[in-house]
Amino acid sequence: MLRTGTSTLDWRAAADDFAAAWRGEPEFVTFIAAQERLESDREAQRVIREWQEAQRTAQRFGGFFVETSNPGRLRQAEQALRANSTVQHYLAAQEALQTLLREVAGLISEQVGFNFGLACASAGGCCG
Amino acid sequence: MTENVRQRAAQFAEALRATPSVRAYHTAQTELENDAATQFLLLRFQARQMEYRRKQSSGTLTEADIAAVRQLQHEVSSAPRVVAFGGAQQAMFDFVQEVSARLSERLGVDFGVLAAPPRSGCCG
Repeated sequence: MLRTGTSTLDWRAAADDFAAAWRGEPEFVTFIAAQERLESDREAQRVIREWQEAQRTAQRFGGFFVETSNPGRLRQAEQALRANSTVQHYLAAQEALQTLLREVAGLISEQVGFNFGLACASAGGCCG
Repeated sequence: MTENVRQRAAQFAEALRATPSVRAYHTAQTELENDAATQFLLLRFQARQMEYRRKQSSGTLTEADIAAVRQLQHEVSSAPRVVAFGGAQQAMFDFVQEVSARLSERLGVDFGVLAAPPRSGCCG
């Protein structure tokens, strides 16, 4: 159990308290609402699926997509994504939350003495 | 950010720092940095690597140069302080993955993906 004011701090309890604190954070609340809206918006799901399929069918050369069939499909799919308000709202909310999470991870990193955010993300270890 | 998140983050960081994995990581890091012989070995290896790249660019690299770099690389990778630090770093990393998974579960979002800095090389 987390006991404030003493030297014993259980990391699990502290992690749970830290996670619970985010429920009152505007960026987090906005993101969760945007995520729920995205998941329930059929049109948004359709344009996302179309974009994903268009990417899959386009051949990738380096950092570029080359459409060997149905040229223009990927461009149209990208335009539809940009025009979909639910998708754009979600992306904006995600970016805002990500900015804040990175800031908080930076604060944690300063205290723990290593890049906490990067260590959380990496699946293959660090090179430091 | 709200003051509540800031305070909880500070308490969370303090709890992490007190864990055996993180303490062992810092101990191994300090011992590596304070070991003069190992630090000298690392400097020699760095210097040899720079010379290797210079000779490679100028086309003057010899078999003896390659052998010398490989020998130093072997010495570095088997140096006790380096081995100990590597082990402690991996253990710390494994622990943080467990922490990240718990945060993601509690938050309902992928904490590791969202909190990671923009793509960079190392976590040190």
